[in-house]
Amino acid sequence: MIPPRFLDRRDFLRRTLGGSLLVPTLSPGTAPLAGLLGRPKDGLHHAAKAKRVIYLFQSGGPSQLETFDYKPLLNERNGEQLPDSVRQGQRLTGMSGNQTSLPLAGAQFDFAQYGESGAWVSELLPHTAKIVDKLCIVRSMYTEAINHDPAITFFLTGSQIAGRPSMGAWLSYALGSMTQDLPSFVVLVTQGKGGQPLYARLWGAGFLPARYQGVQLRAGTDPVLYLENVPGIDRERRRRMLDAQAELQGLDPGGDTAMAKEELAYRMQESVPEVADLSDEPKETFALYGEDARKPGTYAANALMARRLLERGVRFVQLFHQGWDQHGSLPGAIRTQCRETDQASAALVQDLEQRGMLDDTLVVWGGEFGRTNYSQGKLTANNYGRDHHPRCFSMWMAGGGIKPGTIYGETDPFGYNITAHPVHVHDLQATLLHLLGIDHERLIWKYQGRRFRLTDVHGHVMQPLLA
Amino acid sequence: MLVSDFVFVCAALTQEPLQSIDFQRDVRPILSDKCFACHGPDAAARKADLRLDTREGALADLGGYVAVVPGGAEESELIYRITSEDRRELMPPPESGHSLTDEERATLRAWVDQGAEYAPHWSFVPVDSVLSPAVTEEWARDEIDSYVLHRMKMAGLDPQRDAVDEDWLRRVSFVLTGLPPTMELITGFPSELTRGQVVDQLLGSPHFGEHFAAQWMDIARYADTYGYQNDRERRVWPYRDWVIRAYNENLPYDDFVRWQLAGDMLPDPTLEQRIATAFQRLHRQTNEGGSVEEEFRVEYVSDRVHTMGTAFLGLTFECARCHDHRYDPISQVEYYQLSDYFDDIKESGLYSHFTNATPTPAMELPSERQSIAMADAEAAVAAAEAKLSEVLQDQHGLARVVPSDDVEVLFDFDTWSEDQVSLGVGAENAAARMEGFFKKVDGVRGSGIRLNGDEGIRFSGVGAWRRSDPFTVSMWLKLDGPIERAVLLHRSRAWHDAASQGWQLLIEDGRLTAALVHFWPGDMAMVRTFDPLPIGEWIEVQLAYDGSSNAYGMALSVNGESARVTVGENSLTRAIVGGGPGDPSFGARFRDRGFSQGVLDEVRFISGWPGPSWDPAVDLARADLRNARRNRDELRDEIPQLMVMRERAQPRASRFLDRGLYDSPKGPVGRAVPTALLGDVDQPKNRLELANWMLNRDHPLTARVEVDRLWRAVFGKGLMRTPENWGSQGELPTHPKLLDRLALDLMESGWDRKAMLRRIVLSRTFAQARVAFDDPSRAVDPESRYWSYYPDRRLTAEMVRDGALAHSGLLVRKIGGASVKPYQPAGLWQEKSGQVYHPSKGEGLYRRSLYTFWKRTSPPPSMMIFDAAKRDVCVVKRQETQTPLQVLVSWNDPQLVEASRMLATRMLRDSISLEKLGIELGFGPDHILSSLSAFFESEREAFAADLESASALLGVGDTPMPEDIDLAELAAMTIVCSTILSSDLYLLLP
Repeated sequence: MIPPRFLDRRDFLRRTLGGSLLVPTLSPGTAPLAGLLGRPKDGLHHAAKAKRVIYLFQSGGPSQLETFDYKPLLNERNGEQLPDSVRQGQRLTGMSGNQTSLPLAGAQFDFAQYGESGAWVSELLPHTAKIVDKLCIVRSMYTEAINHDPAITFFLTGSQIAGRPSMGAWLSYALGSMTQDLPSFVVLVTQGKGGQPLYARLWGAGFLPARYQGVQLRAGTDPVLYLENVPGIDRERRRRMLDAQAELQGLDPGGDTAMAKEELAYRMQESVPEVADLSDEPKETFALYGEDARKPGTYAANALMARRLLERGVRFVQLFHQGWDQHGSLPGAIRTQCRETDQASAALVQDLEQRGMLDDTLVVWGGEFGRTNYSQGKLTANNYGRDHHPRCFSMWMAGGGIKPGTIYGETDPFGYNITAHPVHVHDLQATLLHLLGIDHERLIWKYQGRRFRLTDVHGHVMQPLLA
Repeated sequence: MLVSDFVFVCAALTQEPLQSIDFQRDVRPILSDKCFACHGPDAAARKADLRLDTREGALADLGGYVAVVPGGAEESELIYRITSEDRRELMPPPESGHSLTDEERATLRAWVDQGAEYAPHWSFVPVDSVLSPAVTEEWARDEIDSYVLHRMKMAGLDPQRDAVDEDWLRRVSFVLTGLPPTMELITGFPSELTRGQVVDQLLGSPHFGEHFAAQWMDIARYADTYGYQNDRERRVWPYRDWVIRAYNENLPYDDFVRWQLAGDMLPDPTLEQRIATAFQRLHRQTNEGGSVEEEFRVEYVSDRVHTMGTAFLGLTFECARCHDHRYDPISQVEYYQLSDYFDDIKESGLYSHFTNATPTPAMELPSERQSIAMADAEAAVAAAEAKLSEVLQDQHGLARVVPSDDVEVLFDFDTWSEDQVSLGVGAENAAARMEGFFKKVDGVRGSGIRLNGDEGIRFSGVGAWRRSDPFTVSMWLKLDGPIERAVLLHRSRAWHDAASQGWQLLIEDGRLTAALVHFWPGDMAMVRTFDPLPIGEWIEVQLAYDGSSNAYGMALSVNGESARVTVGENSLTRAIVGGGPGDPSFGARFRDRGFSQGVLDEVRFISGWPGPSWDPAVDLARADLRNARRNRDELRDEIPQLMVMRERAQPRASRFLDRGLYDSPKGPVGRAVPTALLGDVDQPKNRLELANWMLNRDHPLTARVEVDRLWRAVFGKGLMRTPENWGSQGELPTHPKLLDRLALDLMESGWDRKAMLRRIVLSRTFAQARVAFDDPSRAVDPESRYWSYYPDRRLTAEMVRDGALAHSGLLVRKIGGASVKPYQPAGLWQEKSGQVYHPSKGEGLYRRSLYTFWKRTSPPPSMMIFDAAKRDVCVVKRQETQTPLQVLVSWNDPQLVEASRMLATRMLRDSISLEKLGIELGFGPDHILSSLSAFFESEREAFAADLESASALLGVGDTPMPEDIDLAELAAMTIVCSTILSSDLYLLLP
C-alpha cells in the first residue's frame, strides 16, 4: 500500500523549505504579519513625527528632588515631620512604613534656572542644564507600583504582571525593521553597576512572536550571544559551510531565500562588530560624550553606540543604567550616578541634532518611580536616604515631535503630590506611540481571546508635550 | 444533538454559501468577538442593559423595542443597528475599532430570520457519546482515521501517502521520547519490529517520561529560582522528578490532576502525593525589600487559580479577577469563590531575604539514612523526656513562672557611660549598646529608659539561643497607652525580610506575644496573652521556654502571675538562629515598628532551665534531654525541604477583592464552582473535592483539554488550535466529534494516557508524510486542519540540544536529580543581578535539557532563542519562530560544536561513512549526506595546511581532544557534522 518514494529526498527537503514558517527577524518591511489584527496595515495610523527611539532608562528610581523638581521648602523645613495633610494616608513601602519618624529632607545641592525656558536643574547635571531648551521636562509623572519589579515591568510592558510584550517589542511588531543587518530592537546595559537587578522580560516579546524581542548587545567580543565564530572557523570557512548546507538542502548556494536566516546571521557577524567598534569615531566624539565613552560597557559608550545603531537603521535602542535606588547615603551616591550619565545623555541629544537626526528621533530619559521627600533612615547634617515614591517624579524627552523648552506639570511645595497636569505611565506610552505614527488604541494583539494593548485600556496622548 | 449540530466547521473554510445557520459555528464567534465586550456576561460593562450572550437577554423588551425578534430581522433592533448608515447609531460603534463585514451582517440577519436559536458554548456542554462516521476505505486503521478521512472526503481532499519507514521512525521517536531513534530501533525496524512494537519500546523507555515532563514544565511554570528581581535559587526539582515518574509509570491522568491539586488532602497521603502538590507553589515569589506582604500573597493565590484554569480547563479565569469575564460566563464573584479553594495554606507573600528558609508550607524529603537517624534521634528525645519527668517527679512543671531572684544577666539602666549601659549582674559576660536615640527616665528601680522606636538597644554576650536551649527573659515596662504593634525583645534579623526567623517578644493588639520562628507563618511556635497588658503602670513581663520546640513549652507571665495564653501556632520544626546577627536587641527591628510608647527597665536573660534543681539527678536529666534535642534538631535541619500545599486547620475565608486589589477586600464569598461550568452539583467543600469535580465524568473540559494536549504532543498542533482558550473567544476544534470520541475513550480507559498516545501514533493519520510547500493540498488545507498531511514541525529547544548530544554519544542518560548547568556564555547572570553562573563539570554538561538549571530572570539563552517558554506563568503553547539568532546558536554554541566533534570522532574511530551516518541519523538510505564528501575533502586539506585552526576548533568543549585521530581529518569532519546539525535536515521533524 505504501506508495513508492516519488520524490527525491533532497528535492523534497528543498520544497518543504521557504514556506510559511520562514519569517526571519531581520527582514525589512512589514510583510510577514501585515493584515493581522490591529497592526497598522499600510504604514502607520497617522503621519509619524519620529522614526526611532532611544530610551535612556535610569533603573532604580532617580530622585526628582535632587535633579529637576526644585523644592526649597524642604530645605526650610528640613527635619520637620512630613505633615499628614500632605501624605493623606497614602501607602508607603514596608521599608519606611514602620518608621516612627518621617523627617522632611531638603536636597543638599544647589539649583539654578537655565535657558530660555528657565528650567530649574540641580548642580549635579551641568551638561543637561546646558541643553534644557531642547528638552521637554515632565515633573508630574506618576505610576501605580511602589516596588521595583512591578514598577519597572509596568513602565516597560504596560502591566505589573509578567508576560506582556515590552515597549520595544510592540514597536518592532508595529513598525518592522529599517535594516537588513541588525536587529530592530537593541538593548544596552551599563556594565558592572549592580543595584536593582534587570531581567530579560523587560525587553521580552511576551506573547508576541519571539522575533520581536530586544536583542541585548553586550560589551566585549561577543556583543550578540553566539555571534562570534568558535575558534577554528573564520569568515571564509563559515561561508563554505553555508554553501555546503545549501547544497545539502538542495538549494543554490548563496542565493536561495530558504537560506535567508542563515544569510542574515552571516551578515550580522560582520555588521554587529562593526557598529560596536568605536575606533572610527573622531576625537571630537569623545570630547562630546566624555572619555568614558572609550571604555566598552560604560553608559557613555552605550549612548554613543545607540547613536551608531540608529544611524544603521535600528528602530529602538533601550539603555539601562542601574544604581539609582538610594534608600540611604543618597547625596554621595546620586553624585556618582549623575557623573556617569549627565554628559553622555546631553551629548547624545546634541550629537543627534548635529547630524540632523534629532528631528525624527525621540529621546526619553527617566526611571520607574520617584523618591520620597522625607528621609528613609536617619537624617543627619549631611546624609539622608529616600524611599520609593510613585506619586510624582520627573522625566525628560527630546527630539522627534516633542515641544522643546517645555516644562510640564507641577508638584506641591513639599514635592509629594502632583498639583497640575499629571502624566500617567500609560499616557507616556500613548504619547510615545503617537509620535511614531501609531494609535495606541489600535495597536493590538489578540491573545487568549483578548485584545491586548501596550496601554491596556488606558492612556491619553499628551498633546501639550507635542511640537 | 448539540455536538452534531456544529460539526462542520469546514463550511466556513470552504466558503460554501450559508444555508442553515448554526449558532455555535457561525454566530457565537461574531457576537463574542464584536459584541460581548459591551453586551456580554460582564454586568458592569454592559451597555444599554442589553446582553447578547443569552437568548433571554437578546429577546428582552428594552422599553418598546427588542434587539432580536426571532424570525423577524426587519423588526430586530440588532439588525437595524448593525446596518445603520448613521454613525451615531451604528454598532459596533466605529470608535470601538470593531466592525462587521458584510458577510457577518448577512450571517446575523439569516440567523435572526431562521429563529435566532442559541446554544450553550460547546466546550461547556458535557462530552456526549458519539458515533463514529461510517468509513469503509481501507485507508483507515483506527477510528481516528475514520473521522479524519470522513472530513477530508467532504472537503474533496485525499490523505497524503504514508511517510517512509525511516521518517516515521524518526518522527515517532522524537514525538514520544524527544530523542532520535536508537541504532537498535533503526536496524530492527521494520525487518524485526512492527510499528506497534516500536511504539511499545518507546513508551516503555524512561526517556518517554523525561520528554513529557519537559512539556509539562511549561505548564507547571517550573523554575529553579523564585523569579522577580532577586530571583534566588530554590530546590524544587523533586517535583520535576515526580512528574517524570508519573509519566513513566503511566499514572492515570485523574490521579495526575488530583495529586497535584490536592495530594495533601488524600487520606494518609504518600510522599509522592504530597510532592505533587508543589505544582501549586511553583509560581514566582518575591523577596524585594519593602514589598507589601499581603499584596504578593494575593498574587500567589491568583496564580494558582489561573494556572489551574489554563492547565486543566483551558479557561482564562484571570479575566474575571478585576471584573466579570467579558466573554465567558464567569463572574468576578465566581472568580473569588474559586480562589477561596486555593487560599488556605500558611504562606507568606515574601520569601526570606536574610535566611534560606524554605517558604511554608513545606515538607521534608529525608534520605533513607536521614530517616533512620531521625527515628533514632526522636526515640532518644522521648527517652530523655521520660527520664526527666521521672526524676523531677512533682518538683516543677516544665515551664513555669521564674522567681525574680533567678538572674544570669541583668541590665538595670542605673549607671551610664556614653552609649554603654551598666549591668547589674553578669557584667563580665555581656554588654549593651545604644543604637541611637535614648532618654534616661525614672525606672521601676533607679532609672529606666525611653526609646524612639527606630533605634533600640543591642545586647551582646547573651541570648543567641537555639530552639533546644531552655531560656527565660523578662523586663519591666510602663506603657503610655494601647499599642497596636511594638517590637520588644528579640533575636532576629527582620520581620518579613527574614520571615521573623529567631525568637521574639512583641506587643500585638495590646497583648504580649512570644514566638520562636523558623519561617513565618507556617513553621513557628507562638503564644499570646489572652488579656491586654495593663497601661500606665510598671509591669513585669516574662517568657520562660523549656527547649521543647513546642508552644506549650512557652510560658508567659505578667507581674509574676502566669498569664492565660492562646496558642497562635505550634508548628516549629527547624532552626531559629538564621539571618544574623546572633545577638538580641530591644525596641527596634529592621523595617518593623519598634517600642516608643512606653519606658523600659530591668531586662533579664537566663540561659538554661530556670532556677536551681537542688538535685544533681535532675541537672543530669536536663542536660541529657537538651543534648538529645540538639542532636535531633541538627539532623533535622539537614533534611531538604520542598514547598508544598498543606491546608490550614482554620479556613481563612478569603474575600472578594474590589477591582482585584489586595487592599480593597469586601465580604467573604464562600466556595463554589462557576455555575455555567458543571455548576449544578453539590459544591466542592475543599481542594480535593474541587479536583474530583474537575474529574467528574460530566465535566465538559478536563478530558477534552488533556486529550487535545496528547494530540498536540504528537502532531505539534492540536485539534483545538487555541489551547490557551477554550472559551467563547477560542476557536472551534478542527474535529469536534473526534475530540469528544477521544475524550470519552480517555475517561473510559481509566485515564490511560500511554494507551491514548499509542493509539494516536499508530493511526494512519499520523503515518502520513509531510508535503512539499508547493503541494496542491496546501492550497485547500494550508494549516493541516483536515490533517491531510503531517504538519510542519521544527525540533523544540530541548530536542535540538538533546538530539545532538544523543547523536554524538555524549548524552548522559541518567534520570532525575538536581538541576545542572551546561555551557552558557559568561556574564549573563552577572550583568543582570551580580550572581555568577558556574557551569557544571563532567556529566552535568551532557544531561538532557529538562535538567538545565532554569533561572527565571536569565533563562538558558540557547533554549530561549529556540522558543522555550519563560516559565514565569503557565503556558500551554509555545511560539514557533525562525530567527538568525537560532542559526548562531547552531553554529557557535559550544555544546553543539562539541557534539559535532564527538560525532565526528565516532565516525572516524568506527569508520562510519557519510552514507552510514545518514542512516544512523535516521535520514534514510538515500545517500543524502554524500554530497558532503567533497566538502569534507576540501576542508581536510585546508586544515592540514592550518593545523592551528584545527586544534583550536577541536579544543571547544570540556571533553578532551582525542589523540588517536588525525587533527585535520577530525576538524574537517567536525565541520561537516556541524553543517549537518545546523541544517534543516536535522532541525525539521520528518
